[in-house]
Amino acid sequence: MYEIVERRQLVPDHHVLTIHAPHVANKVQPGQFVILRSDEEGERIPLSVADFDREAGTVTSVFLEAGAATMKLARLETGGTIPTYMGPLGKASEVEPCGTVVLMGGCYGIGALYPIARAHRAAGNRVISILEAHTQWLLYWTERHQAIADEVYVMTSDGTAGERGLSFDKLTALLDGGLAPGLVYAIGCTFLMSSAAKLAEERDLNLKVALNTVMVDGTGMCGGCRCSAGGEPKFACVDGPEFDGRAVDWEGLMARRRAYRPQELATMRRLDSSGKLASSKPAGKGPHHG
Amino acid sequence: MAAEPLVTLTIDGREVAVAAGTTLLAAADQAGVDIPRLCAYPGIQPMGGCRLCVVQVEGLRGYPAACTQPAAQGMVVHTESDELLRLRRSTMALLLTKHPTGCLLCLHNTDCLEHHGCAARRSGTVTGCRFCPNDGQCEFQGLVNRLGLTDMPYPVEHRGLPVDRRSPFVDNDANLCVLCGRCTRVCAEVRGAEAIGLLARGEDTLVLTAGDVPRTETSCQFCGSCVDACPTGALSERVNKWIGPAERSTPSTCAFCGLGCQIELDTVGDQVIRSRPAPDSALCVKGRFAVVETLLPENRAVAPMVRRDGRLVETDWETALARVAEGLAGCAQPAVFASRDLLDEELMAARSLALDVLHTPHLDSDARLLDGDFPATSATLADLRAAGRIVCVRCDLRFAHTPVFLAILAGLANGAELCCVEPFGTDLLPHATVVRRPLPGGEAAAVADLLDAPDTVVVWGSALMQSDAGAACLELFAASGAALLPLLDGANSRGVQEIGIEPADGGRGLDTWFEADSEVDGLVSLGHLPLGHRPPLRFWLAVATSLDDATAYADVVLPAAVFAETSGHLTDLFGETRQVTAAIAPPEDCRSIVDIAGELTVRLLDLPRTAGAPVPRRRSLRVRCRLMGETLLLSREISHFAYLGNALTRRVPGLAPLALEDVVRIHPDDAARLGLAEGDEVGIETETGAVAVTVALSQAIPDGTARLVLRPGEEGLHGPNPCPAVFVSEHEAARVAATTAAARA
Repeated sequence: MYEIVERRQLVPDHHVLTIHAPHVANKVQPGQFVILRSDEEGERIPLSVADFDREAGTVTSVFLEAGAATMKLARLETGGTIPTYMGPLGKASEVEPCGTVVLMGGCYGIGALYPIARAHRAAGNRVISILEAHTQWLLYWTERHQAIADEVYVMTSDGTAGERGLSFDKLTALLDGGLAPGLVYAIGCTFLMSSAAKLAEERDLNLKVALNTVMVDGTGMCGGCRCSAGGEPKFACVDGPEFDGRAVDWEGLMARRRAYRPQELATMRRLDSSGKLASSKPAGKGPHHG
Repeated sequence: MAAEPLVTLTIDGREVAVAAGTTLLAAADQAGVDIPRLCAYPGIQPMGGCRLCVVQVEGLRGYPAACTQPAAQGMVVHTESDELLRLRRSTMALLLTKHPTGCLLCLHNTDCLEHHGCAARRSGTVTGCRFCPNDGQCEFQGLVNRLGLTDMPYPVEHRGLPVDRRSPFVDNDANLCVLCGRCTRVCAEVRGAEAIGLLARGEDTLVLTAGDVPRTETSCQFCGSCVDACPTGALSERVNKWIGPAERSTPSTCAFCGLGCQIELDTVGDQVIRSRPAPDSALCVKGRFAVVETLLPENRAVAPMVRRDGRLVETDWETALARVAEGLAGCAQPAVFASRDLLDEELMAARSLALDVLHTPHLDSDARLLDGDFPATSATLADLRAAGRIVCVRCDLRFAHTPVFLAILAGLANGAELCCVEPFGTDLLPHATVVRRPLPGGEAAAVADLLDAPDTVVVWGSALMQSDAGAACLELFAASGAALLPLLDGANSRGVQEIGIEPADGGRGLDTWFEADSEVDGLVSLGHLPLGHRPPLRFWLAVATSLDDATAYADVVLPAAVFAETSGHLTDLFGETRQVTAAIAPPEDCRSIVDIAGELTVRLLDLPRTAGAPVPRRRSLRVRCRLMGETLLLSREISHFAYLGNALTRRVPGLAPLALEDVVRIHPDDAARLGLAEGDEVGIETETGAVAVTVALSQAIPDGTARLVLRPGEEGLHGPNPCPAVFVSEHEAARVAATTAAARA
């Protein structure tokens, strides 16, 4: 069993999860991920590593409450335990001197980008972070990124914070202004990553994306995370999670992500009717009722 | 009634004549001019709250709201101008501060929608359009687009409220609520429930139940009207929450009771995702929320099964049908049972199967047992709305036959007088002029002098017909000359009567098929026969829609389609023929009952039958218990939550807290005297048997009486009803249950 050092809602639906797991904390590198379960009957899900503390033996992820497994995860309390925490998994990011690195993150990706940005800064690269959210109240960790990046831009869909637009709008503007990054990262929802891929194709950018596929074992055995990059079948768990964004078959990826939707919905239905969700409340920032 | 005088006015250059007093919004609708609106909603009084429907009227100062401004002769109205658009946009921007999704103004919304599809992700609280259950079917999304709102001049805060999941069917994400008040007004004005309201003031206002108690503890009918009225994703139906908009909609008839309510079945692919009332109709909780889960394959019998080595195992249709022919060949006198919820065509097939194919007179349904010997209905819902006096006897209309409740409320608004004869409390009592609270069984004496007023309509529920007082009441009703409205629970009890699903010459009725002297030795049941045990039979074919206690004792189970998967007709309790239309195909291996009857006909027609070895018949067992020394008058009724003889609560878990099946309700004072508390297990024993049940306390139950609602399949209606029941201590309850089970086995 692994102790939950912290489970806290950062902004609505986005939670930070810190687990005491020295075996992962000792070895984990930026860009890697872990696989965990919320309970003995829980589904195994992969989460990107958003921070780690080798001394304290802790590993941190930022996750989005998006389905049955993460809804259960979001209801765990600090001080509790989870039965499975496996990692580090996947290949670490390649961090080499490459001049300017632009990192675009949205949703859980704002967290997942953080250790990668930190590593590039440490390697002497100029780091430009572009953080996107639908709206001002979904932004988090802006200060953390400001502390390690050379420049941080905030983008919101409705213009309620930073500039109006999404991260690739900002990148387009920077490129138009003459920026020539040696490396670009995009981590977040598939719309962000696939839009970034289109832009990379047009402007001939070296783009890395971290794929968020369905995964079971995370060691290349189950094949659940199969994707296609450069026309070759790949496993996101052992060949990735990072891939050249321009080479990814996005349509195939979306189709595979939808494959288990009916089962997911049936599980959510059972969870809802079990009353387990009705009785517990995630920690919100506003007043509670009921 | 004299026609209202007409006034003529001009709206956006179109001349229109409307009755005086008509609002400008209604006049515009009539003229074909679509004014943007949010808080206006069909069926409820205008509130003038949202100010989106502002218009300009020549000669009038300011910008009146079209939903509250009455039309006047010669008015010249303009509904579109730069100034009106500016006003509407600023109103909408203010509303957006209460509806915090930046996606509505996102420049990439269209591309994102194309990439993800509607309601792409499931989430806790809604953080954007693609994470919203209302995505793609959202009135609010439509208004933002229509008004061309592009900028958000105000800061936006998420209120951080947890999603309220306490209702069995509806999730409430109050963070999305724009406080248009449509849900609360529909609840009060259309449904007469007043379960929810806009509580607190100003910034903190929320749609809540009084005291924020769970909806099960309010007068909520779980009719879903609030969900249907919600223009945002704040209120959402849980079962279809992340499926997105419907692809198709099929009009049909609800088969969960005899009212014949018209429904629309919304489908995506081969799945029904929602059942909702047809335009100008209303539904109860069953019609609105029980259909989808009843159809789910995970809750169904989906393959033919035969008994092998004592266990039911799946097989193919040919093997199962061969086994049926073989089994019935060994039965001299098989009986055919047809559920009261079957379609007309299915009942005809059942009749033909018994009389023409198996040549047996033992044909029956559960209609007579459960709905009684009901007379012809001589009142309509329109008669209720126009009645002088409405007499209700044993009418519990909160969760069943609820549209009748609405018609009664309309009748009261039109000046009717309501007389209620109810041993137990109901939601009608606060509206009644005359309230009689006899003990169960005393209904006839209590109602006798209430039937002589002019324009009287008598309404009664199946609980009366299942009670020994039913026959005496029926005689009184028939003699009174009042218009009669029996609330049949069976979807097609009237069809059963008209088609003649009844014992033929020399045949036995269902209630005596399994008695010791019965010659019935085989059974074909179409729909679930309410039995909880294996009767003394040589062979039993169960044509069933789900696996439960009833099918557990059959020799062969054939999986049947249900009403949304087959087409045909139902005869509603008013005698109207109603069209039932298939919205989806049945699960792969399920067949319609008409098709199954056809297959059986081919194999069974002129099949030589000889009786096999005699079947041992058991004597019924008596249960004796140590007495607690207290006797209450026990009234038993079969739950309204049934379909084809199946307990709906098994398939639709959300219904369980509403149905209170296998729960004995007693008054708190009686409970105190007996030393019982809410939730205690207790045994109750009557002359004919004993059951273990759970105790619930209710002020609606008179002292000295107890109300027990039984699942279909419980053998609760044998023997006198009501009857004295002895309560046995909780220590005995387990032994009672075990002995009862042993008696059945």
